[in-house]
Amino acid sequence: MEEKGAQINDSELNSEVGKTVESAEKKPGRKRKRISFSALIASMPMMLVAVGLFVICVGYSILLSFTKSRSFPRFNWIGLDQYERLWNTERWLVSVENMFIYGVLFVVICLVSGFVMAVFLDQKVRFESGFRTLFLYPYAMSLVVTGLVWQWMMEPSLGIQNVIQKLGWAGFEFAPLVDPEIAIYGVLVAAVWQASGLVMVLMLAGLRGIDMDIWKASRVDGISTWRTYLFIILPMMRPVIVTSLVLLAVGVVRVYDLIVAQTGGGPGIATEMPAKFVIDHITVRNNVGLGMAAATMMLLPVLAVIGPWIYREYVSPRKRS
Amino acid sequence: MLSVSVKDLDLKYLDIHVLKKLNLDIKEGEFLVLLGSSGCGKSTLLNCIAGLLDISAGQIWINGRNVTWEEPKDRGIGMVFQSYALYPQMSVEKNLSFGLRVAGIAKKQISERVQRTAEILQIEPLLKRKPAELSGGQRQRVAIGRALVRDVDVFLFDEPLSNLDAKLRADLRIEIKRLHQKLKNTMIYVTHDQVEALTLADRIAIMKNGMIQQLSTPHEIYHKPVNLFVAGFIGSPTMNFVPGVLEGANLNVNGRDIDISRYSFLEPEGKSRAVTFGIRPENIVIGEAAESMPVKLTTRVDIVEPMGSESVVWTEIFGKPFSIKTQFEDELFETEEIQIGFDPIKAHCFDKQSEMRI
Amino acid sequence: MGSKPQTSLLKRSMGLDNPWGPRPIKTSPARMGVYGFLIVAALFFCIPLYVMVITSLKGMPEIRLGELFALPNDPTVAAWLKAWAEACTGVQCNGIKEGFWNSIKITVPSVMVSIVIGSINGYALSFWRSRGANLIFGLLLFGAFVPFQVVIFPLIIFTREMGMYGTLPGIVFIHTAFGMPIMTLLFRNYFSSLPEELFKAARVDGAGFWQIFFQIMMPMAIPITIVAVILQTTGIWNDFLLGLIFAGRENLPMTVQLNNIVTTTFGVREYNVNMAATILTALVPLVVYLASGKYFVRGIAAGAVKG
Repeated sequence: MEEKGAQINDSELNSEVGKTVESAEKKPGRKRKRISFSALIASMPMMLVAVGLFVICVGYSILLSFTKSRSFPRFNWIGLDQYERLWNTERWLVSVENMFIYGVLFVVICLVSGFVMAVFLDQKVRFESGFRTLFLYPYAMSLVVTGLVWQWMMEPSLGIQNVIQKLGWAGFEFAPLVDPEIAIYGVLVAAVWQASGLVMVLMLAGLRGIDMDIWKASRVDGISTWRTYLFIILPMMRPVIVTSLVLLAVGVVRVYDLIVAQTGGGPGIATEMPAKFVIDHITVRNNVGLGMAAATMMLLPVLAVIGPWIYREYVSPRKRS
Repeated sequence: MLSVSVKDLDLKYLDIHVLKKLNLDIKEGEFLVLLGSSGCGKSTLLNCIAGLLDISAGQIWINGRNVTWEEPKDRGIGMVFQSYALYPQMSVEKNLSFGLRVAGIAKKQISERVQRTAEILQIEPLLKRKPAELSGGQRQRVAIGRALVRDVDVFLFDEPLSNLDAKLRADLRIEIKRLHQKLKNTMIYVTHDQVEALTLADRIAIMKNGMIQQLSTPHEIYHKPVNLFVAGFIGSPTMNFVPGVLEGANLNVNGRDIDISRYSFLEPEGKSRAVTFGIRPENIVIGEAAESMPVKLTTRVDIVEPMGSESVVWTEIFGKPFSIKTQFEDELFETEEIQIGFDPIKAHCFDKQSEMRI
Repeated sequence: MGSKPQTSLLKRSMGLDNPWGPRPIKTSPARMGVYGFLIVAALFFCIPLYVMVITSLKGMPEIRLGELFALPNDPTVAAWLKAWAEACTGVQCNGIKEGFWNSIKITVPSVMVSIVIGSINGYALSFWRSRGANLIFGLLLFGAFVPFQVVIFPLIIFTREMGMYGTLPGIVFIHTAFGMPIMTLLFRNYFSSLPEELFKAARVDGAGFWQIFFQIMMPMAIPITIVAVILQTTGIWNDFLLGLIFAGRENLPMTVQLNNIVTTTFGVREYNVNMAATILTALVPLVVYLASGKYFVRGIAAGAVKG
C-alpha cells in the first residue's frame, strides 16, 4: 500500500532520491514518474466524467432550480420560489408520499423475502440452481417489460381478478391499477417481483460465506436451526444487508420506467413519482426551473443514504479488522 | 471404563472412502491425539464422534451409551474449533452462556458455571468484550471456555492452535496440558503438528488414508514405529532411510556389510529379504564418540545447518542424503571428512514389501 | 459394501437392535415445508412469464374469453409476426424490429467503449491509493448511484451544444459516461485484488505502464471482462429513460418502442401483440442471463464489492 502511494507523491519521492546516492537512485525514480504520469493520463476520462458529470452537471442543475427557466436555461434568479411552488404542487406532494409508501414497503418486503428465500435455498435442497435461476430472472429483464406484464395480469376484466371470480369467488378483487387508492400497491407487487431475487442472491452469497465452524459450534451448543439463523447468522450478515439496502433504496428514488410502463402515473396522478415529475417538467411541461428544484430534492435522500455509506466504506481510514 | 468407543466406523462420501472400518477405544480421562497430514481423515473422525457428520456404517459409544443417532448436543461433548467459531456479535459472556440458555438452564446456575469457567481459563476481565476485541490467543481461550461451560466429560479439539503464531501456540499448548491435568476429562485432539501431538498426548493415533496406522504412547511411537509411514512421519528432520538386503543379522547396503545383531528383531531372523533400514538423525554420532559405536562409517560434510542448541549436518551415505543431528561443539566445515557411527539398537528395520517393522 | 444389511440382520437376530450406521432419514414436515415454500415462490416468479408466453400465442377472440391462465386452444405465431413487423409504434407501423436494430446499434458500441475506458480507468485507479484518490473514488461511487434526473437537463444542453443530441454517437456517449463509474469500480476492485508482487515483478522486468496493462493485466482480466460485458449489455439493452431522451427519433431503442406499441392504440388493445413484443424485448437480456449463470450474479454484486 505505502509503496504504491509513494509512486504518486512526487515531492516525497524527490526528497527520498536526494538523500541517497544520486546516480543509483535516479533511474528508477524517473521510471516511477513516467508510470504515475501514464496513470494520470489513463484516468483522465474517469476524472472528466467524475467532475464534469457528477460535480458540474449536478451543480448546474441545482443552480437552475433557483431560476425561472422554462424550456431553456435562463439565469433570471428568483431565489427559493421554485421550491415554494414545488411544495405547493399537489402532484409533487403525491409523488413524495408515493415514494415513501412504496419505498419503505419495497425495501422491507424485498429484504425479508430475499432473506427467507436465501435461507430456504440454503437447506441443501435439490435443484437449488434451478430455483435460483427462477427467482432471479425477472431482475435481468427491463422494468418496462415488468410493468407491461403486470399491467396485463392486473387487467380488471381479463386478468387474474376475472379468472378467480370465474372460479366462483365472486367478491375477489385484484385490479389495483384502476383504483387510485391502491394503485401504488399494484406497482409495488411488480417491483418486488422484479427485485427480490437480487436480494436473495446477495443474501445467499452471504450465507455461503459464513464459517462452517459457526454452524458446527451452534449444533454442539444445541441451538436450533431457526434460532441460529436469527440470532447468530443474521447479525453476521450486516454488510450484505447494508449493501442490499443501499441498492434497493437507490432503486426506489430512481423508479421511472416501471411507472411509465405500468400506470403512466395514473389513474389520475395516483402513482406519480418524483423521478417522473422531473422528467415531465423538463420535457413535455417545459418548466425546467421547477423540474430542477424537484431533482435537487431527489438528491437529498440519495445523499442521505449513500453519503455515510461511501464515507464509512471507502473514504474514512480503515477500521482495524 | 471406556469413555469413547468407535466401532467399525465407515464413512463414504460420494465415491471416496474417507474412513475405513475404523476402531478406536479411548479410556476415561485419557488425552488422545489424532495425528496425520491433511486429508487423512482425522478431522472427519472427530466430526463423526461429535455427530456433526453422518456416518455410513458402525457405531459410536460415549460413556457407555450408544450415541450413534444422537444429536451433538445430547452426546455429552464439548468442541473447540480451529477458527474459534465464536458468535461475533455476542459478548464473551453471552458466547459462553448462549447454549445453556437455549437449553433452559436456570439463570443462577448459568452465571455460576460461566464464572467458574472464566476463572479456570483466566478470562474474567474479558467477559464483557466482543470477540473482535480479543487477540487470537484470548479468542481460543474463550472457545475452550464454551466447551468447558457445558460441563461435559469429553472434549473435542479440532486443530485448535493452527491459527496462532508459534510463540502463542507453545504457550497455549502448555495451558491445555495443564487444563487436562486439572480437569481429568477425556480429550480428543486433532492436529497435524507432531510436536503438539508428542507433548500433549497420553496416546497418539497416527492416521493415513482413513485408517489408524499406529495407536500408542508418544514414546512407543517415536521409538518403535510399526511401519515405514509412521517412522517417516514422526521426527524432524525425518528418519534417514537406506534400502538394503537383510540376511540373518547382516545388512548388506550397496555391497557393504553391516552387522546389526544388536537390533531387536520382532520376528526370528529368516532368510534373506529386501528391507528398508532407518536411523534417526539424532541417533548418529560424529567424531570421537563414533569410535565406541558398533557401526562406524566415514563421510564428507555437505552442508551444516546450525540451529543454536544443535546442528544438522547433511552428508551423503550409500548415495543417499543423510542428516545427522549433533551437539558437537567444534565447528564443522563443508567438505570436511568426518567419522560417524551409530548403535543398531536404536535403528529401525522395515520389510521392503509390506513396509512393516521387522 | 453390502455389509450393512447383513450386520443389522445379524443384530436383530441377536436381539441387539442398537443404533448403527447413519441416522435414519426422516422426511420431516419441516423438509416438506421447505420444498412447499420454494415451489410456491417459484410459481409466483414463473406466472408472469407463463402468462406472457401463452397470451402471445393466442388470438384476440380467445383472449376475450378471459381465461388468463388457460393454454392456447389454437396456438398461433400471428401475434409475434405482427409485433415484429407491423405493430404501430406511433404514426409508423413497422413493428418492433426497428427498435431491435436500434438497440443493437446502441448497445454494441456502448458496451465496447465503456469497457475499454472503464478497464483503463480502473487499472490507473488501482495505483492511486492515497487519501485524495479515495475522494475521487467516493465521487465515482456517488456517480453510480446518483439519479439520472439530477444530471439529465445539463446533459441535454451539453450534447445539444456539441451537436450530439438525438444522434447515435450522442446516446453512445451518454451510456459510456453513465456506465463509467460502475465499470471503473469493477475493474479497479479486480486489479486491486491481484497480488501486488505480480505488478512489482513486471516492473523489475522493465515493463512500463501500458505494457503491464496490455500484456499482464488484461489477459488476467478476462473473467471480469465477461462480467462487465454481461452487466453492460443487460443494463444498456434494458435502459428506457436515456434512450427516450438522448437517442433521437431515428434511434429509439426497443424498450421505448415497446412502450409506444402498448400505449399507442387505435381501437382495440391487442394484448397478444403487446405480449409478443414484450417477450421479444426481454429476449436478449434473458438469453444473456441464462447463458451467463454465475457471471451475472457476480455482476450484480460488483457494484457492492469493496475495494
